[in-house]
Amino acid sequence: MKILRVEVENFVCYYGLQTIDLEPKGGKPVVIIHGDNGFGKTSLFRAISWCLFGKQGRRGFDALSLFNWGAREDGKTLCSAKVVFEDGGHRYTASRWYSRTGIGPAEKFDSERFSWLDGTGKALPEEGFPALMGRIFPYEVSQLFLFDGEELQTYESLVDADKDAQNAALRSRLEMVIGVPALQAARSAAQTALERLEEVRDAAVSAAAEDGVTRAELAKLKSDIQRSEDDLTEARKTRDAEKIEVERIQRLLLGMDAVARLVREQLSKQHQLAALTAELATGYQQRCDASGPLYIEILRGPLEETVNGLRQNEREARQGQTEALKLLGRQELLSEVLVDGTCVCSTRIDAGKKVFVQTRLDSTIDAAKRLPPSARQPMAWGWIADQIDEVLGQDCRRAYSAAEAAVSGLIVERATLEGEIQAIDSVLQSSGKEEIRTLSESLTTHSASLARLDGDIRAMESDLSQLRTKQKALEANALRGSSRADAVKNEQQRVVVAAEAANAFEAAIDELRQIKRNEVQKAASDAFVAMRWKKDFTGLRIQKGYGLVIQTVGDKDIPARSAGEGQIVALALLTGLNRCANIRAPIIMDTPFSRLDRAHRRNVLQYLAHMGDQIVLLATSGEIDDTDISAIRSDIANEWQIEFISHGRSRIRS
Amino acid sequence: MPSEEQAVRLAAEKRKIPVGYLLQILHLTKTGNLSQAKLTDHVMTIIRQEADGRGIYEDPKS
Repeated sequence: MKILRVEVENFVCYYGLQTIDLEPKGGKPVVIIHGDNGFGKTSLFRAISWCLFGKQGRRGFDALSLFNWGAREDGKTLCSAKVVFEDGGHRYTASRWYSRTGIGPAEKFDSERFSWLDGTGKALPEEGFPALMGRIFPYEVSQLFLFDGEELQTYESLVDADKDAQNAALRSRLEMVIGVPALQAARSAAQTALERLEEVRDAAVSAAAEDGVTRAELAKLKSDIQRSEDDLTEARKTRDAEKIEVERIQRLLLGMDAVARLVREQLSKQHQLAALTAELATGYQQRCDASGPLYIEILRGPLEETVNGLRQNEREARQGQTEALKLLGRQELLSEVLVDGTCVCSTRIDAGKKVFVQTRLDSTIDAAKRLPPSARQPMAWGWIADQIDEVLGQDCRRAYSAAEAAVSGLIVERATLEGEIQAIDSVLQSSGKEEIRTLSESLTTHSASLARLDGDIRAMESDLSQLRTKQKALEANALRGSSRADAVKNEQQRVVVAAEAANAFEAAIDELRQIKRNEVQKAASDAFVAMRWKKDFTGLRIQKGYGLVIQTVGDKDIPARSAGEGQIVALALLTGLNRCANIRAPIIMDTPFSRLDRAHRRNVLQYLAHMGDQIVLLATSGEIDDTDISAIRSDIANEWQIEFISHGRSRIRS
Repeated sequence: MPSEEQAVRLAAEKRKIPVGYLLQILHLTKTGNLSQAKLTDHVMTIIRQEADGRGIYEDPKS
């Protein structure tokens, strides 16, 4: 942060508007404001502090104290201080003011007012300003770097800080400069989080304690289930043994099926025997039928003679029949001639011839009458002969032999079957019918037992299923309980981590103090060596409580120091802090050299530009003179003079 | 590296603990511009995430 410009209006000893430019320029960090005692140096100092931080409970910052007396007399209504500053490339303008109305007894002051603008002139929310300042230039830090000569004496006491508890506030400022508060805030946040997380964990522990009942119930149920499972396992073993026995009996009975097969075979053969017997009866009939024609063989001679006679008769009958037909034809021809009176050649016959014809006709009729009767039945003789020939043509002996052979075969076959049936019957007579009966009875008993055991097992399985359902319900509860137990573990883990964080930040504070102590010690020693004139003073040693001890050759502590040396030490400490601070703050010193001799003052002035990025020195004419100014001219960005016109009428000119 | 971060890293290293979540808390504290209540809530969130990332707590004594 750098303060660029300060404007005061009707502020303490400044009547009207006064402006002072404090901006470092061209690498020159020093601005010097000259003014003797009572001219208004401290008023400028107060203007900056009041504008940036308000009253902060300090005395001398009320309206009556700050409002210029003359301005009040003249009826001016405004008393203000304005600071233009920049940080991180952003420019801001902060204004704080009192306004008043009325004169004399009617005079009335309004309450303190504040506003701030960004670089574009845009008004910003008032509540954001303390946050910005807390980050870039905290009030406590301003107390350290905005100081007057008297405060410097306080810093000198830091030499004895380790044994002076009264400097705790000062040490607090130092720690703020080096960044300890950030870690303290982090530790505090972690500690608060730890306490909150401990509360959450304790609540989780209480919730988890309620799970005890469910767990006990679940444990008993699991025991019941285990017992039921054991019983079921035992029952299944018994059932399986019974099943094995049933299957064994069934297998044995299945083995007995061979007997049944024999019975079936016997029955089949008996059926075959019956069929064979029927077939044999047919064979007997056929043999009987075949035996009839055997008589033909006995009569074969006579029958053949008979056939010959019949054939003879047939031949004769055929001849006689031919003759008869001839005679009948002639008879019919002669009869037609007689009827027609004409010959076949259509020649008319006369009476004589008719007689002749008649005679011939009569002789023909007579001849026909003389034909034997056999001549009239040639077919009958032939048919009878054919029938007898047919009978005689049969091989009756062979047919009978075949029938006889068939009957014989059937008889043999029937005998064989009868033998086989008898053999089967013999086997069946000797088979274990009694054993089958015993096994069947056993099978019945074991099957009944198996069915009963199956029923028992089904009942047990049903009971077990119900128990498991209940177990699942309880396990769901237990799982919720387990979740709560896990929640306890989780919360405990968070507590552990929070405690770890709080402790780590506590340790980090010590680490930071050590780091910064070393840095500040080196920077302060460099500054001290640059500003001291006793060459045997080799540096400073910073103590645990930020107390500083001057060291001489061989890093030996020097137990005592003069007031001036103490002031140099204090300036060296401020320099070291400013260089090593996390906050880049301006150093504004009000009459810091009052107790320094010329040699030290010159050393300090020459070192002034190395103390920080912005150094504002308010000095009396007795503190620094033209020679001093000439010596550091190259470090001075601007130089201002406060002129005293009259009481309450100071003004600032370059 | 800011001195606070350096100090936190040193402290974490000496204690052999993760530093990431500590830096998150530090960053939040320095730049969050949060109310105390919100800061605590955010820090608790960071701690929960860190703790949950490490898994279930096992008591070293058990």
